[in-house]
Order: sequence, then structure tokens, then C-alpha cells
Amino acid sequence: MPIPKKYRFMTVIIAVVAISVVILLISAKGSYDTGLPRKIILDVAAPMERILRAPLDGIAEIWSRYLFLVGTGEENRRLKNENDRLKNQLLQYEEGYLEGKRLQKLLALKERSEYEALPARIIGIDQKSLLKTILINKGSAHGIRNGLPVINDQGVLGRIIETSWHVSRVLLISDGNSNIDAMIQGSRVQGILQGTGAMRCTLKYIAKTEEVKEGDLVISSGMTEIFPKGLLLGTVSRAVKKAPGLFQTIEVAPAVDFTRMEEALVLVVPEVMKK
Amino acid sequence: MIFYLVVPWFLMIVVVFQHAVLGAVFFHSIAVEISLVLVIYAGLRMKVLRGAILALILGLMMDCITGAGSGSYALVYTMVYLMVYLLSVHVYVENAPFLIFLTLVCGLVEGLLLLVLNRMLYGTNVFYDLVRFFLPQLALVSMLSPFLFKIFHRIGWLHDGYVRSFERP
Repeated sequence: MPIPKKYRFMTVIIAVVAISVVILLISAKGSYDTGLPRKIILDVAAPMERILRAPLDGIAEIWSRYLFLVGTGEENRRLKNENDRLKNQLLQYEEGYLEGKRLQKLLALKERSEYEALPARIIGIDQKSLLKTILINKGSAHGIRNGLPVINDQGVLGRIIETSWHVSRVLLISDGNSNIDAMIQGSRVQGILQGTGAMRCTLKYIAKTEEVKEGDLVISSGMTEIFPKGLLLGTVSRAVKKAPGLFQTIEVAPAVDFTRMEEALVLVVPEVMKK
Repeated sequence: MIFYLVVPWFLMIVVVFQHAVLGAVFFHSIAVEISLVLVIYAGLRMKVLRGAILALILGLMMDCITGAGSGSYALVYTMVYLMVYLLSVHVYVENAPFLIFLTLVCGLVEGLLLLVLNRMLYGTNVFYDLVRFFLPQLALVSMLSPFLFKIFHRIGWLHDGYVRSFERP
């Protein structure tokens, strides 16, 4: 039965708004897994995005590697100095590591790593919308599932929140929805690292009685099953005790430079071990 | 009929283009939300059914490609579409300053709805993100809206020669 012209507008609008509301409610209360339509769109859109971005990425690379070299000499000098300092430090740590290995053998402790690192390429970055995410070129077909941690050579990037067959979305630690169990490496004080949405994080629930200073390293505490213990999350950039309440205000600069990411490692926990 | 076959693919290209290409042009720090201008265009110039379906599909594409919860952008875009459509039966928007103003208002409504939805459904406060990222983006896209309108109008199958009259539907 055709709808009278008088009611057509209202009928169409009510139908469309109702569909949106139903989808929204289903997704808000829905399952942890990515739905089939989203999987299809992600898998179709990712190659499109890669093709469209390829020329721009090329230009950006030429610009950053060959043209925009202001401050490179200064940076090179600073890195050489840092390298010398780190070499000395490494030597000391190597001694400690060997000592630890000897003691481990002595106590007959079995060394084991529960995680397998799966390399992936970053194919999309989205830091300008409400959700700070990146896309990687590995999906459920490669054994990736929601919740797995993602790192790179600098530190922790985030965790998988959505997977299609060949593409996955990673929620960055700088996003406001990201909460990670963390601790200060030196003092072993534990708190929750939460993203602020602007390439910064805050370390919450650290009592004012604890001594936290600028430059302290923040690592994962391994309290939850998502992130293994000891992964570098960032560095304390500011710690203030003046705010009212029981806890300090601690700002953390993430270890990863989110503007320069190319590759990532997904830490896959084999199902057998998880059980 | 061709409209309903072509529109999902066209909208996917629009969203991927704005997400990947325009995002990269502005060093991933600012997004030019041409999808919002397309929704406003649909509300002002397209037939009811076509415009509503376009707003819904565009919203769903945005949800999938930006990673937002399914239905968030779909609901926001249909609400913006409804608002613009109701305005269009009273006013024929043609001059550029009014179009810029309308885009600005619609963008603010979009931001407000996203803020409320995120708060209600996911318990997250995106106010800081909206102020830091959304407002500069909105200013930019508002300035570009008259130009984008001309581009959309050149895509003939979008409006199919239809010109909105002042009569009530």
C-alpha cells in the first residue's frame, strides 16, 4: 500500500531514526566480537585506504627524509652521546642478566614466554576523531582477536578492539577509553594508566605519600591478562601533589611516538596456554 | 534505482577519502568532515527517501571506518538530516555565508549529540577531544562547505535533477 504523500516524510524519518537507534542499542549491549557487516566494510575499506594514501605517504617520506632536515645535525650529536651512555649502561645490565641466569639455573626455574610476536604493518592512522585508533594489516585469519596487546620497538601502542579477516583496529593507549594496569619502574608503585585523548596519558590512583618524579619510567604491571609485565608504557612528564584529594596528578608521555609508526608487533597468546 | 546501487560504494569512497587522504594532508591532526556537508546537502537538496537513506548509510560507514560504536554516527547524521530537512521546507539556502553558518550549527549539534551518546552508552567523556579537535575541524569544514556543495551538485545522480520547492511535504 503506497504511503500518502502527506505522511511520507514522517514515515521515512521515523523508520531511519528507528533503524539507527536499534543498531546503536544492539552494538552498545552487543557481544565482544566484531559484527559481520563491520568486518566486511573494514576488509573492503582498508585496501582502498592504502591505495589512496600511497602517493601522499611517498611525498611525506621524501619531505621528512630528504627535505625537512632542520635540526638533524644537532639531533645526531645528541643521539651519539646518548648511545655512548646507553652502551655503558647495557654493559652493566648484561652483567646483571648473566648473574640472574646463573641464579635461575641454580633454582631450576623454567624460563618461558607465553606470547608469540606477530609482525604487522600499520595501514591507517586515526588520531583526529573521537577514538584514537590505528589499523594494522593482520586480522582474525592470522590468529588475531580482540584484547591482544600491540607493541613496537619503542613501547606499547595499545590493544586490539576490532578485527576483520585481514585488518584489525588498535585502540591507542592515548585514547580516553584506554586503561592499563601500570607501575613506576623504580619504586614499583602501582596505578592505572589512562589516556587523555591528546597523545598524553595520566597515571591515576598514586597516593600523595609516594615519591614520583619527572623522568620515571612507567611500565605495565601485568596485573591483568591483557598486557604482560614489564612493557614500557611511557615516562612521567609531570607529577603534582597540590590537587585536592588523596592522589597525585601524574602526567605520562607515551613511549611511542604516535606520529611516526610504521610497523607493530601483536603479542598473541596461544589459546592452549590461555586455558 | 541506480542511486541505491551506487550510493553505498560512493559513500564508502567519500569516507575513506576524508579519513585517509584529507587526514594525511593535514598530518593526521585535523579531519575535514565532508560527510557532514554531504548530509546537509542531502537535507537541503535531495528527495526525502534518498536523503534519509544517504544519511543513514553514511553514518554507518563512518561508524565502521572511524571505529565508533555502530549506530553512533548513523543516529547523529539522521538527526542532523532531519533538522536540515525541516529547515529546508521554510528556507531556500543558497548564499555562501548562510551555508557556512548552517554547517557550523549542524557541526555543533553533531558534537553535542556525540558527547551525550558517548556519555550515556559508553560512560566516556569526549568533551576535551571535541574542544581540541572537533572545533578547529568544524571551522575548516564550514569554510569549505560552499565549495563542497558545488561539487556535490555536479554529481547528477545524487539529486537526479530534483530541485526542492518551498512547499511543505
